[in-house]
Amino acid sequence: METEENLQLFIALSRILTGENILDAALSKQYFERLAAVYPNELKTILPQFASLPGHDLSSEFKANILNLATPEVLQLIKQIINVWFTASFFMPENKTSLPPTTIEQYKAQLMYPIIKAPVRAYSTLNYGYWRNKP
Amino acid sequence: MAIDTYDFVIIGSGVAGALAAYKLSLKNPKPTILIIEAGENLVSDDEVENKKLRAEFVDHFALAEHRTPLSPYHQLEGNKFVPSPDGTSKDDLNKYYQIKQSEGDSQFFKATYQRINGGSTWSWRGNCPRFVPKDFLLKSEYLSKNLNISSNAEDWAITYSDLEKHYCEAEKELGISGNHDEWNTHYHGAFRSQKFPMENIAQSYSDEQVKGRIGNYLVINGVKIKILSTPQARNSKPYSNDGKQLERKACEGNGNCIPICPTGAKYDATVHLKLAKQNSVDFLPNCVVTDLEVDGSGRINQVNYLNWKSDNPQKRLSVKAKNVIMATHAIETAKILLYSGLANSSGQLGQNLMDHLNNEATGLMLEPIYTFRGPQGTSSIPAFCDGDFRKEYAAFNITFGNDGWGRSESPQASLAKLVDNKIFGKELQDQFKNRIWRQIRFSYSTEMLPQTYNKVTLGDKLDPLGIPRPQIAFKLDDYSLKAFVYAQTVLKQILQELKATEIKPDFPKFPNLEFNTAGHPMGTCRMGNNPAKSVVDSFGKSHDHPNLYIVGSSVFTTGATANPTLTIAALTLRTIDSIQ
Repeated sequence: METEENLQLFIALSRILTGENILDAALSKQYFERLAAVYPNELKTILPQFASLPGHDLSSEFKANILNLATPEVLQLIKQIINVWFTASFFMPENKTSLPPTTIEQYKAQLMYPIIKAPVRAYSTLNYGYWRNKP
Repeated sequence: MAIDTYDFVIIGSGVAGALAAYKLSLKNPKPTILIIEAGENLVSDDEVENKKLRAEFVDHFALAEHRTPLSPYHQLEGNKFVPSPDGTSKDDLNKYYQIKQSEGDSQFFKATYQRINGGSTWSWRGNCPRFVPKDFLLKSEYLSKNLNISSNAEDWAITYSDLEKHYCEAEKELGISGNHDEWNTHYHGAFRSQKFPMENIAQSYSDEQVKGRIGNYLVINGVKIKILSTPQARNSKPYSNDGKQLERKACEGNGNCIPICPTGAKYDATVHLKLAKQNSVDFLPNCVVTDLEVDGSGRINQVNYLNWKSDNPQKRLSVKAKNVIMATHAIETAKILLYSGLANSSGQLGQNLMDHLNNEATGLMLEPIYTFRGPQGTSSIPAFCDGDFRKEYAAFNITFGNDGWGRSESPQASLAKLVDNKIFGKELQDQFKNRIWRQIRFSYSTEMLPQTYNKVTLGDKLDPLGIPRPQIAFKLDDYSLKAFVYAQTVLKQILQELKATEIKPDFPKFPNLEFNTAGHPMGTCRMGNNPAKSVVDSFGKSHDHPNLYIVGSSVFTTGATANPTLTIAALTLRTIDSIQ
């Protein structure tokens, strides 16, 4: 499962799901491993499907051929991929193996903060009074 | 300990204990002083080490599976021996408290606090409004005019005027940023004789948007809605409370005021603990006071404690004292005195436990107001902190939240809703920020009346050191519940005026309300002139023991709506001033 080819597919899928063109390589590997430990079967389903898309308009093709046809389990994986990139948090499904805790690097790399143009909670790099102004 | 008998033994190193120690250490001749602290959070006098430690606490909080007020400190060794109440569920809190509850009653005391160096200032927001003059006269001004209200309330033994100069001093000590003109003019007659030591924390863009829409004209049931900047123990510029020590930085808007400010721009009581130690105050952490002893004349002469870091944590140790100052707030102070069998000729010890009941109201604005930028809150609506309505129901304070919908809907929950609708990619980003940026939240906190049935007693179960755990009985009365419902209707009107959608709560409910408590335990050792009805006199001195003083929120006669810390500090300064 955790081959370089699958990792690259996971990164490409993550780009489509998150809307972010540039995703950190180290985090991609960590998140892929984290998800593969809990959703191996779902990844085995979705990654080949994703690889087989023609690639002319990936978003539309993904929606039509994968998202709209996905099983509840695959939908759960899709939700987790988005969630882990946006919030660095991972909601453990029941009866699955435990995963290592989130790292501070992952916490700081949450996509939600740059998307809403706010400093990462507890790790502001801005100066007094920035909050007076709209971003 | 090098000293056989201390002039003062202070129990607790939170804001009351640390400030009391520091102020006593400035007296001439300088007394010998010992602070005994139950916990230990490794804060030292080395600022470089403290900075690293604070960063570790912040990291622990960021990575916590369930973020609670104590998450930054879960790894501390002391938690095994001196647990603190933490969490929001009854099961969580029951790990320390024993919650005494009637069958079928869902109401329970939810306050958390911390037993570490600096006390609960390691998990406070830093809001520092004063009481208003009529808070000290609740019974005579309001309650006595309505025979249907049943309570154990008394007027305070002091007035706002008696405390005003101490409020000014407390604002300097803690370092309060505030707008003098606003709070001198629009706060129910709470005059100010001095300016705040720093100008107010800049109000957020979102708060300014609300001010622009309703700040100058909205009137609800005859009450003009005036939006003020919240006075806060958070620096709006680099600040040192005595002008000599290392300045603490200006706030950088980390959005993490509770539980821990990553930079130290928000005050915590280790500021005064450090100053006290520099002035030769002895400090004994990781020692849990069990009880006090008296001599034949009723004077406290010995403090007994257990040292959980020693080879034998069960070994009873003691220190002699000429005077004892209890500074372990409303739960622990009552517990220690009850266990000692002291200071209770009135029968009031442990009774009259209060907190502030709170919850939030939320809506979705039409335009972005850009949440999650800056401190967690910068503005308040104190219009309902006093008024004739207090003859019928409780006063309440309203504060703004800068952190989206808070407990009502986290960003993760907002995200999940969108993903459940199969939205992804750039559209997901756009819809996510569009929702987060428009979220507005107000919190409201209502006062509670002192009641004999809301109380701390000794439980029948023991803590890890073998000391009886505090047992809490807690029930809400109609006076508070009516205010809770009224606050919801007020906020609904404000949100409607702002043309917000998705307003919650949409239909205020009574009496089965969802509520939180603010973690402001008060009462249990109340102040009064009548020894038959109170535990301490107007200076915090025990009616029963001439060398026992109590500082902290336990001496509050009533709870008002103000966050208690500034009043705790002011009363502490008054107590120390009274000691010759």
